[in-house]
Amino acid sequence: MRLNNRFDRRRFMGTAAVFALLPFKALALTVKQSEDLVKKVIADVQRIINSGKPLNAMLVDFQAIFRDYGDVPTIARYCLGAPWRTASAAQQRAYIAAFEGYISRKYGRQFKKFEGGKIKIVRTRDAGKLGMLVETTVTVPGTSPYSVEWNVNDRSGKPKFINLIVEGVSMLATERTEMGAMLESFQGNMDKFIAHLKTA
Amino acid sequence: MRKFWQFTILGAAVFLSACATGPVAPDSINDPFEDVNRSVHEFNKLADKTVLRPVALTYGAVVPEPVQRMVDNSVNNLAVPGQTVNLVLQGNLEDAFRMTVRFVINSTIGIGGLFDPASDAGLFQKKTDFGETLGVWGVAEGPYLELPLLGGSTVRDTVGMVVDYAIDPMQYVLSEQDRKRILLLKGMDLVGDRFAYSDLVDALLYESADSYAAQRISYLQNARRNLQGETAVEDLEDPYAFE
Repeated sequence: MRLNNRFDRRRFMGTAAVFALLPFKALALTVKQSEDLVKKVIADVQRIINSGKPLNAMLVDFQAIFRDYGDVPTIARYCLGAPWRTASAAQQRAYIAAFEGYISRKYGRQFKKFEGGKIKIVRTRDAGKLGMLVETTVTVPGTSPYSVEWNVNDRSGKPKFINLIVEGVSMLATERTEMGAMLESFQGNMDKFIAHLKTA
Repeated sequence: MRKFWQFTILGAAVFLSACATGPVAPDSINDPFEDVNRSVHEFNKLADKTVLRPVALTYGAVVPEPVQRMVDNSVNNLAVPGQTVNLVLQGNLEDAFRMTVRFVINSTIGIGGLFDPASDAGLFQKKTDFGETLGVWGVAEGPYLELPLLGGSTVRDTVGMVVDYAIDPMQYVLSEQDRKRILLLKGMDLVGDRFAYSDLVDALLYESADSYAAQRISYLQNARRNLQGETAVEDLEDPYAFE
């Protein structure tokens, strides 16, 4: 906050009060923590794709990446949108579990494409209340380099990614669209939708 | 007659640039023609399923990879002059200069663009088009459109495609016969791209619950980022907004 001659005392007090109310943890996420998280993910992804395991076994390992390093409940809730509020507690739990498997399979297949490539951290920017945005470049021989960005936040208690953005296309936007369409294809029937998501 | 059309198109572009607005939120969608777009989407999917996809799979299996790469390199290289014109129009003289150097390197050492030594040296292609130039000039993207056989677009980007055809310097230096050959090459490259990205395209078109909506959000978000040159941190989606 800049204190210039148009400084408004009431606004300053208001801002100070808001900061005082915020848990200290939310302000503590550093560039280093965020980049360390991304480095860990990259190292794990590289290890998995070079393991020589069959794809299905790899996808199981990718699920561990999402569970350990991603804030899956937050991502899942956002992607479902309004129907989350009307779902029962049991449905919410089942949905999060199904969603975790679903994004691991879907994005794990994309991770597989990093094979033989290099992932490099380019820069990290402060995204305010949304934490940090770590930008990486993926270089796979024979193709132009492309950008993968990781939105890291520690509101869950430790640094975790809350969004993945590939060449501007965000996982949150894509999966929100997808979950909406999938639920609609079951006429809004939550149980049928969750059962489908488990295998999608 | 050709001149007349060029003036008409440029006139339309100038008119469009008058209807300027600020940047849009990355997940916002403006799709008043959704019904028509969805019909076109179904047609495109059918065309992909029955023609493009099978042809692409055959192409990928029959044409050796080095040849596929040469086709891709040539088509990319032939697009550089037009892209350079756009970079100049966008006021991006630095990249315009880099692309000129790239074109000279790949057209000579790269044997008429068959190879891509410039990328090996880190001089990557800065792909752009007149749709982006209009965006830089402040023209709003306008409603989303799905074009027959061409896929996702917006009103602005569609106008851009037509103008790109008119302002491409290659149109004026090549003979009629060369232009036909290049058209064939471009067709091969389209098929080659469909093969190279088959996993992604298949997932998008045939595994999405709503492939139209999936393609739309991908196109819009990708185009908006290309225009801005980066993801704006203040525009990130907030998953905590829903609690």
